[in-house]
Amino acid sequence: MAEVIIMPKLGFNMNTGKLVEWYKNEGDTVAKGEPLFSVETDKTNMDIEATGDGVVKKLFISAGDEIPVTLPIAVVGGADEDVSAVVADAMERLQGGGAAPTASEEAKEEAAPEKEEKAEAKPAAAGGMLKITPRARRVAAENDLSLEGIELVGTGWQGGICEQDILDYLASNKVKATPVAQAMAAAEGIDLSTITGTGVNSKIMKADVEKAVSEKKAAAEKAAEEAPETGEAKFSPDGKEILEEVPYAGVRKVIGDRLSESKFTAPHLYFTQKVNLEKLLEVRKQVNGAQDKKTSVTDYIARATIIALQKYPEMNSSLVGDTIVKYKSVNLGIAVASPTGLIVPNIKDSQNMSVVELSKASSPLFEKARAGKLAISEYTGGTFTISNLGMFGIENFTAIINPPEVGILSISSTKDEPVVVTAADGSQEIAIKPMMNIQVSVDHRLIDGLLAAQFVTEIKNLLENPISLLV
Amino acid sequence: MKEITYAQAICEALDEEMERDDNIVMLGEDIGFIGGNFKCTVGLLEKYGDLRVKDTPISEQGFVGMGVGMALTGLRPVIELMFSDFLLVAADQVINQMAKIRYMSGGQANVPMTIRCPIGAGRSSAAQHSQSMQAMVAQFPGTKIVVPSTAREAKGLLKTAIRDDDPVLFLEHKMEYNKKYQIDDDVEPIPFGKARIAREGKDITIAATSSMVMKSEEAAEKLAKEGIECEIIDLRTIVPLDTETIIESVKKTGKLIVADEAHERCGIGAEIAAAVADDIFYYLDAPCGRVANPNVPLPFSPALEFPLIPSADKVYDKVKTYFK
Repeated sequence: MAEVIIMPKLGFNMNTGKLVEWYKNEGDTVAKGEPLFSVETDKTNMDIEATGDGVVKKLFISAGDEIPVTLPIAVVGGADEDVSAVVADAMERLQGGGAAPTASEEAKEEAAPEKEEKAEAKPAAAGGMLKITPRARRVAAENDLSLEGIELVGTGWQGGICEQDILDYLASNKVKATPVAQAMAAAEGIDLSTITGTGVNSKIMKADVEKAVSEKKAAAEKAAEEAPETGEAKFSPDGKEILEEVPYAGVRKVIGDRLSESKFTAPHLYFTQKVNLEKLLEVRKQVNGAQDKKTSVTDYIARATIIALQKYPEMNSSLVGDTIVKYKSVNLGIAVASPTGLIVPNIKDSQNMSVVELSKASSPLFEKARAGKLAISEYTGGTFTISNLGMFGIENFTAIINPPEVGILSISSTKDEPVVVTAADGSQEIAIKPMMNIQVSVDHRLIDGLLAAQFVTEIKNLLENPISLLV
Repeated sequence: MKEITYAQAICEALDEEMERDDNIVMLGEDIGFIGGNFKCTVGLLEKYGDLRVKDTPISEQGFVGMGVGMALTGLRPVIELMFSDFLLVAADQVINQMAKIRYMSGGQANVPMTIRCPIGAGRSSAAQHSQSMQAMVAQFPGTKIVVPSTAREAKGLLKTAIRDDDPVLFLEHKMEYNKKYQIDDDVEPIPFGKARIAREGKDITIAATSSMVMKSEEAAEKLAKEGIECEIIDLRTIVPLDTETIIESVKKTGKLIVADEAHERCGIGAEIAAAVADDIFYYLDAPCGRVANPNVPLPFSPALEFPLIPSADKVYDKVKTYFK
């Protein structure tokens, strides 16, 4: 039985999915569990596996296409199975374009008369059936032309695709060129359809491609000469010269939309503490000397945060509708800059992990994040986030809460600073110490200032007395 | 070359055959003294005498039956029915006797007999004298059916009909009788079952019978000016049917129209489209079409009659539905 593959909904906020690539082409066999395609979700690229054995009969979208979730993107069926009805059905859904199935269901009945009009406007696909005359099919077959997914407007009987349509298609899509000319053109990045052939039947010969290559070079040189004068500068309506225009879409848009949603719905409060890392850096040196896994400062901060979260579970909570849910599990998220943007993988059930265990659990997540290969479960379901920009020498910064969490900890760089040190006997002196700013941002709807201050101070104390992180 | 009418061409065929074979005799209403209702037997009574050219009473069943008997005894009767509609009067003799005797006698007897009669509308002959009976008779095995187009075709095919050792129904078109045609001085018999390509073309095949061949040619002239090249097949005989020529043509053009003047329902067009379907299916670029009479009796009033009759314009219009 043919199976319609749909654009999966991989997150609650995912309304559209962008196809990164197909791993299978039409006609390829696919086995259950084999990766079928890769899709860009709201934060990462995910491989989707085939759910059954079969042959890829039809791909509706191409790499780079973005379509609403739940819409059909492919049909997989038996090797000899006739899937034309299933394909036609899916095409109709695609053309209907409804994102949510429930909405399109309702719209279907209302849209019934409109559908008839559509059938007249594009009769080749009327009634969900592609009209191709037997002769056209035969001619197509003789020319090894697959009619699956072909974009043809029929001009034959009742708007069907007739022999002439196939011949026209072949004529307009077939560039006649010698193999050498084809290889040369491919190597030089020249579109064969832009070359006029001088061979028999206008066949494109090696010499034609050579000519095109030299013309292209000449044109490029000429353009380079003229560039300083004419340039290709683009200007905004008010006269600003534009360097580059990039669409606000994909991961960038998801990040942007989520952060503005967070900032506009959750009233943020910020509390900063200065932490003396002298002891912690010493402990870290000893720990790294005592075992193989090299721990980072982030691992200690993570451990301190987890302990603080367990002491103040209000900080480890979410606002779900009208309910404040406090979690026993600490899924600690750590923000990472990935090639496509900011992403926050989280360490599941980190509440009982030691510093070394945290280090071991977080390293592979960071690697995956940087490679854009995180599984969706690895970056959803977090309960609190820490964002460390210490390695970039930042003095102090303010982070926006990663919803639906209620707090985020910003970690700035560690710098040697003069500080007033008070000795046990009450005497004071100025000393140089490695100091680091940490700041917590909290959602004031749930968290009051006192609690937030206690929380961030707790972390400071833990970091300044690092033995407590190891026991 | 000479210019003669279609009726004269038939008369010449009859004359030449009667002169060649003394066993040929003619029976029919007004064929002797009058020279035939449509002047196809002018001068034959004078030339061959009352024994070989016999006027009969208005009794189709009687003289068709007589013809069957004469054929069985070794003569070669050529019977003229004044209108093909009257085949129904003689239907038992035509269908149950003439067509069946070779089979019923186990091949011991044969009926070398020809029935000539006019088909077609256009003379205000009304519903009972305007019909084209080819499909009805074709339903019953045992009779060959000839639907000649031009004068030359009529002459050559009638000779073959008369020489055939089995029954032949020879259907002349009553609107053709007075039309003049250029014709060779000598016309050889034309074999049955071999269609004639009346016009070569690459875009659409029109398989036509009788006067529809000429009407199709007229339409094709007009269509050619618009860049549509029709291939016209003059079928000559419906039984036997030259499917091979039709198939080869449709393989080239991808489209087939059958033009036959009889009523469309259960007509020759339906039969031909189905008969070649197995062979042309994968060559078809459009469904087979028909040009035929609508399924209503033919009226007396010319104002009502002519709009029904398949004309060159109707062939033209039909072809145009394939090239929009």
